[in-house]
Amino acid sequence: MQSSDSKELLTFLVGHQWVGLDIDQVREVLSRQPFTPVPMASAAVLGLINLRGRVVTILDARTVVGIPMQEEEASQRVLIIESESEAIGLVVDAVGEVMPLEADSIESSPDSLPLLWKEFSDGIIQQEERVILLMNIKKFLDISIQQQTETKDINDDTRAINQGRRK
Amino acid sequence: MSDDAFDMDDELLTVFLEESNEGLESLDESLMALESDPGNDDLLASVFRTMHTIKGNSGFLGLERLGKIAHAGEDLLSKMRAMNFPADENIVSLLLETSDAIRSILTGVETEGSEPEIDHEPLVRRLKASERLLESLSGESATETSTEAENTPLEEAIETEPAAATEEKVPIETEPAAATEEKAPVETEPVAATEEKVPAPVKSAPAPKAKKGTAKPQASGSIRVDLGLLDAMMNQISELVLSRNRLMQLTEKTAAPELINTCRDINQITEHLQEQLLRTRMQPISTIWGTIPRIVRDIAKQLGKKIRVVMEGQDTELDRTILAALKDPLTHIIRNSCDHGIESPEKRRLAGKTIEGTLNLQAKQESGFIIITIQDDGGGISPDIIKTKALSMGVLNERQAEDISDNAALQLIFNAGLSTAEKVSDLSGRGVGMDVVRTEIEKVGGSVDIQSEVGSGTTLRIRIPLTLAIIPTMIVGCGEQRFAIPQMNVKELMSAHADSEHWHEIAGSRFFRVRGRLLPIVNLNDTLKLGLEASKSGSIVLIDTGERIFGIAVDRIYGAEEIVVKPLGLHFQTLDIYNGCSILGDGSVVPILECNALGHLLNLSKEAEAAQIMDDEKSEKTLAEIQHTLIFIQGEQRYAIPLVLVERLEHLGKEQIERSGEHEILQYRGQIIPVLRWKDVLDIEEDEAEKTEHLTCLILSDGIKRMCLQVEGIGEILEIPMEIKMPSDHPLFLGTTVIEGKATEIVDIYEVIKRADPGWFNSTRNGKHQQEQKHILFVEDAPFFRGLLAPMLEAKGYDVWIARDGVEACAILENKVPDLLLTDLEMPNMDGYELAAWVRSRTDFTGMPIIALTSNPPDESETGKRACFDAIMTKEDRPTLMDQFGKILGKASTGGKTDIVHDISPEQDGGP
Repeated sequence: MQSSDSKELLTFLVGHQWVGLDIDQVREVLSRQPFTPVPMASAAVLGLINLRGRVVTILDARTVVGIPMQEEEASQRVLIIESESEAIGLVVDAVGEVMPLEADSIESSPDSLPLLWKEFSDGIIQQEERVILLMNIKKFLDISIQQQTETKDINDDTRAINQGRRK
Repeated sequence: MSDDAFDMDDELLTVFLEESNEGLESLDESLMALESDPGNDDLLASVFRTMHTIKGNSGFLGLERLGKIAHAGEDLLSKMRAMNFPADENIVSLLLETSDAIRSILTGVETEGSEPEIDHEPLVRRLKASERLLESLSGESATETSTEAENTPLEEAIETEPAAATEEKVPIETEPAAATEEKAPVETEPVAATEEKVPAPVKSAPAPKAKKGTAKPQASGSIRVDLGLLDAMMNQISELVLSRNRLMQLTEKTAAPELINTCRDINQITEHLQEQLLRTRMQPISTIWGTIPRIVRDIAKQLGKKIRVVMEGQDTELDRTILAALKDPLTHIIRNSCDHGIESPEKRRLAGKTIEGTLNLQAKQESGFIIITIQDDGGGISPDIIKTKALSMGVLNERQAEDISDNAALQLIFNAGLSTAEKVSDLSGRGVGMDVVRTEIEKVGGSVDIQSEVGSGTTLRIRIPLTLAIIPTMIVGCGEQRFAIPQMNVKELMSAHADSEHWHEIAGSRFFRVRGRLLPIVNLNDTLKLGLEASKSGSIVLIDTGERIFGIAVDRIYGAEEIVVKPLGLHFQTLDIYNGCSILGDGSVVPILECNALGHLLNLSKEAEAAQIMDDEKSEKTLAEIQHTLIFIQGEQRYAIPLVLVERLEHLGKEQIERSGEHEILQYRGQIIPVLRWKDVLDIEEDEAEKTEHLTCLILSDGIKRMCLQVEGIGEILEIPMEIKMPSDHPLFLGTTVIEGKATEIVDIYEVIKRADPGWFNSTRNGKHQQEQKHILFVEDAPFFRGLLAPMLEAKGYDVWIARDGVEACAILENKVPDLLLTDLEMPNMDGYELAAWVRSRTDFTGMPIIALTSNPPDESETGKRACFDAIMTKEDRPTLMDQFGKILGKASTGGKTDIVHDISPEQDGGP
């Protein structure tokens, strides 16, 4: 983060999309664990966990980007992200690897990218068999925070189903 | 210009700002004191010194604008001192304005790092003009003329200083512009207040370092601590409390005594630490009240009113977070009171009131809460006007408007719909922003209500918790989900089976009938859309937010836990039903429910609300079987007994209890009475405490006999509904209830007495005449009172049949006829009135005496209600109770002879 040449990227899956995040912004990676649901919270909020005495909000990355939520799977991981004022846990479908990030490999996001994805992406990296989307975590979190006002009045049925599923 | 000044080191600047701000605080105080005591040289000197210090420092720091203003102010003050000119209202106003200007510059310096670009030149000119005016008045023009004096037109000086020429303080009584809402007030009574005028004159020089308002009476032995550090410490302590909780839970599972002991120590130390740290965060309310006299003065002056501020309890301390949150709502309320509450002097005179209105502020602590009242003796608010307004705004429908009580109508002033509407109406203006006031107060867990009487004034009452950081809560659960409910909102816990007949559904809203009152219920499962199967058994947590009373239906209650409130993250901003979360002893996270918001969620349909209002009105008088209950303590456990049985509390010397054979006895008021030690009853081993010289004893009496119950300590005496939550297997206890959040065993006092004196109940029964046994049908829904009275009656030799409500009583009456019907009035299903009416309608019960036994007797005037009863007695009226039974029964059976009275209570006369 400090010097541009030593940047590293943590890659992970959200749905079938590879996403990369500056490793300096990820404090730790946890396996999925039980959390306390917070009823009436927005759909992407899975709940809260106690991380060594600190309360961490857990978000479902899929839900934020509009992919239907998935049953719990062993491959799922929780990325603990230090945002400005609090710690956020982001549930992703799988974690890939840590790779060096070369500034010149970043391309701008293609127009074909869905609008929501585009909003939080800082560009993409083309690799032979995959495309990694660079995540701007601040924008991503902003989107998820905004969603609470939207989800507030979105159909409650979905939430009820989700709630049931979390049990 | 001023930018250059800020090469100085930050520390110096910080000190300067702190000192100056403190100086300003005392400056305002002194100025206002000076206004009411114009000739006070000490005050004038103190004001002068403050101004002088600020001038000097600003020159040193190169703050030009500040220096100029302070200089002009100082010159004027210096002239006043030289001439012995008494400060009048206008000069004080001008100087206060100067103080404001200085403050605004300081704020600018603090936040921006430089003097703000505000043009203070007109103010400086007016100060100088005033100074010259003084000079011309005195005729001495040679001395100390400010060299900087410009040729300001004299007209301006005169214009802004109209009263400077006259030394008298004649207030100009103009009708204030703001139209007032009052009808012609009828009351003359001003608010009785004996306090001296506020602010108290500050005698000593407000040298910046010496003192800070009234907040810190002693400068010695205290140091300044950075608030950030204090907050950080608070967080650490919070974590410590959590770890402690966890540790305690873990050690419970082990049995190593050393570990347990160490944990106990840690527990205690943590508690003390927590308590002490909490105390460091406490600040007296005077820190936010300090500015109030000033605000009131300004408004009063602006509106041509005369308002006196009386403050009581300035030393009352509150957590600084809460204090900070209270400042704005409090100011708003006060502005409202001055603006719209207190009338113009002319109006007050016509109404026969004192010309000067009084604004009374009071703060006091009351069981974990701070109660702040703001009372004015103004025109009051008419509930009718509010009703009309609410009706026109659609806040109430016609039926509701008719049904709503005056008090409830007044509270509507906090309703957003009404509040905003008032901005354009000339009704009062009083409601403006009151919804915001309420919201702000609720944010810190408080509540606010309003009382008003047309003509004599309005009182607002704010109730807030002492501290926020660590709170006792009740942990409840729905399915797997747990929630914490702050205990300050929890009034009662009760079990509520899904099949209970107390459930009612009115217009789609669910209610639970509690002691005759319909309690609106928030079902967490539905409200929070938990999507759980409705469970059969459940509990209701009775919530009182101060603003409304309702129940929260939950699946289960886990118990009480002290928790540290942690904020919820940004993803929960729009959710007002939680006021944070916490980590429990077992490490899990729980959301904390915000009861005010849940209450607002009730969203009762209009019909249901109307039904509830009517129901409340109906049962207002008959509400709840409130019992005076005495709580006593043994070890950690609390026990409750009805106060009616306690004749006296005595602190006896150890030696007063004597031994007589196997038993212990006490000579008490000429009687020898048995002594029972509660710890013996419980089989608790003697310990150190036994060594105390004084024993706490309850003298119990049923009106005839006495006994002494020695206990470890007395808790409190409360007026509470006695309801058994959990029946007990223990023969000595009727069951367990929750009183003020603590589990409390209700003692079956008759069982206890039987132990002390097995013959107690027999002595009277084996009376002279073994006459025909009388039958009493005793109808009472409260198990507690049934348990209390039935044995008493039996002890008198009556045969007691018990029914739990009117319906059960009817069923019994269909089969057998008692000699007397003794009934409670407030009962579910069929109340005492209905029952009595039914009995009276039946020819087969002609002549059967009916006695009503109630905590809330109907008024004498309500003859219709009283008609069916031979007597109406209150439950507190123990001594005459038996007497009355006897009389009435005697009359019924022997045609007026009252033998039984003597029979059943031979020792009555010798009683207390």
